[in-house]
Amino acid sequence: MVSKYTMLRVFLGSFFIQSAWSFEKMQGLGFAAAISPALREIYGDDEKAGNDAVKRHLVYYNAHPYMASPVIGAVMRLEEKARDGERTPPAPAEFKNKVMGPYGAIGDSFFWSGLRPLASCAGAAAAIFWGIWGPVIFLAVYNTFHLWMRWNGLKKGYTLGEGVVGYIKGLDLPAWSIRARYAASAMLGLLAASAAARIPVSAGRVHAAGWAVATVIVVSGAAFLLGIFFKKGVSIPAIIYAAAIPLIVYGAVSGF
Amino acid sequence: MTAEALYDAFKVSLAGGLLSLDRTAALQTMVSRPIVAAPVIGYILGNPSAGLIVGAMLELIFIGDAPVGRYIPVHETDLSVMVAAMTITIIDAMGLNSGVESGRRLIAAGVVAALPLSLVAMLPLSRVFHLADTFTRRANLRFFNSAQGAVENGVRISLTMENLKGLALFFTTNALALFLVSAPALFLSRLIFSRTGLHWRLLPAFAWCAVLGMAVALNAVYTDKRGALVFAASGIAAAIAFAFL
Repeated sequence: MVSKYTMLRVFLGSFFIQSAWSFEKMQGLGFAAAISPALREIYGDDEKAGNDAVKRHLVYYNAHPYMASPVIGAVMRLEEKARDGERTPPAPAEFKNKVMGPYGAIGDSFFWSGLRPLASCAGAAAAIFWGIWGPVIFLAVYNTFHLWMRWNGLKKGYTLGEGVVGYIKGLDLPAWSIRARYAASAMLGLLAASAAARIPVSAGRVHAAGWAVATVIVVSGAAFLLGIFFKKGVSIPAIIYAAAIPLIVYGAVSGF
Repeated sequence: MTAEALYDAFKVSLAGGLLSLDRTAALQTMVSRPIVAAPVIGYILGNPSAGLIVGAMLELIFIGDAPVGRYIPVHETDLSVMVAAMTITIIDAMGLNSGVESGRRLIAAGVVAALPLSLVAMLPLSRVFHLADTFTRRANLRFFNSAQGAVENGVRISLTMENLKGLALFFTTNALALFLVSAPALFLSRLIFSRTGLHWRLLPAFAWCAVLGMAVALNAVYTDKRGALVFAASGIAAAIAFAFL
């Protein structure tokens, strides 16, 4: 069994898995650096076996950075089994290669496309009501799940070994990603209405509510049009220039 | 004026370089996102409220700017650091950060005037940040090769230290790129806008950026018609609540 101290070192190392990210090897060095304290403990005095294990993991690796934690945990367990002769030496690296693609896709879908937009909308909406607490709420919403995946994923990976695949599947993260996006849509509706109701021209509650409804309608229409532009390959900076530059020129010229 | 701009550029580059590490090289706790990075820069330059407005707006605009196909996304951390720094510098130069009228309304007037200008000025320069990032990601291969060479030859080295060299390179290139952009940008902002009073006349440009932010965010989060309906229902429910509560 790997000691708690080593587990903690591996956990901390997992936060630096992309420190030496390169186009050719991606997270290869980061993965090997994160797992190396565990490999040293697992192989102990057998320097040759330990060095061979490091060699096996100092190769190309690419997955979602948070989803590397369950993989690292499972690989640690498999390395123990390889040391004890229950698995062949290449088995841990083979497992790693097999799961990195699917785990990358699951992580991208849940963390980048679901949770982060939800946290962003919650943070921006909170900024309207509570000012500087907005960024704090954004970080709290996001990192609750992020840190849980880093720590729990590592622990579950180490406990379950290859069985961590079933555990991750059971979490049903793609379905939670869709739910998070619906929640983000709702949060954005609240944000649009709140931002409009607070603009200085609003006089009275009913007037503010009218502005809020108008903004929701305008944003819906703009989102629909943007969808068409994005499908035609128009980028966000191009859309900013197209409308903001004429409006800035109008604003500057109108004063003279 | 030059010394003040250089000192601000130095502080912005240092803070921006550290915040940028979170984007790829370390942690990924999202302190590199605009909604956090811009208020931090605002705090450093003495105007966290303006930084917060910049951050919230850029957060929404770049919420779904992901590397799809051949499209390379904007470096949202460095961009938000620079837009926040330039916005606050313009507010200072226009004299909108002090005086008897200072307060929420004045901060709003300053952000309305400065944010669209800063965003339009900084977007093309974000290419510099992209180049710095690409250079680092290419150069990092050297650390991998050096570590692999040592392990192949049975030389016992600290992989952690080799890995952290990549972190140091990410910081150095980002901070340098930020200084290269921020020093002239902040100097010119002070020089040009100390004689200009645009204030509320840029409200249409600001409103466009706000609507664009929310529309881009909505476009990025809804997966089907139900998502759009959830947005509308939530917004209208909030409007009704504002009218009666």
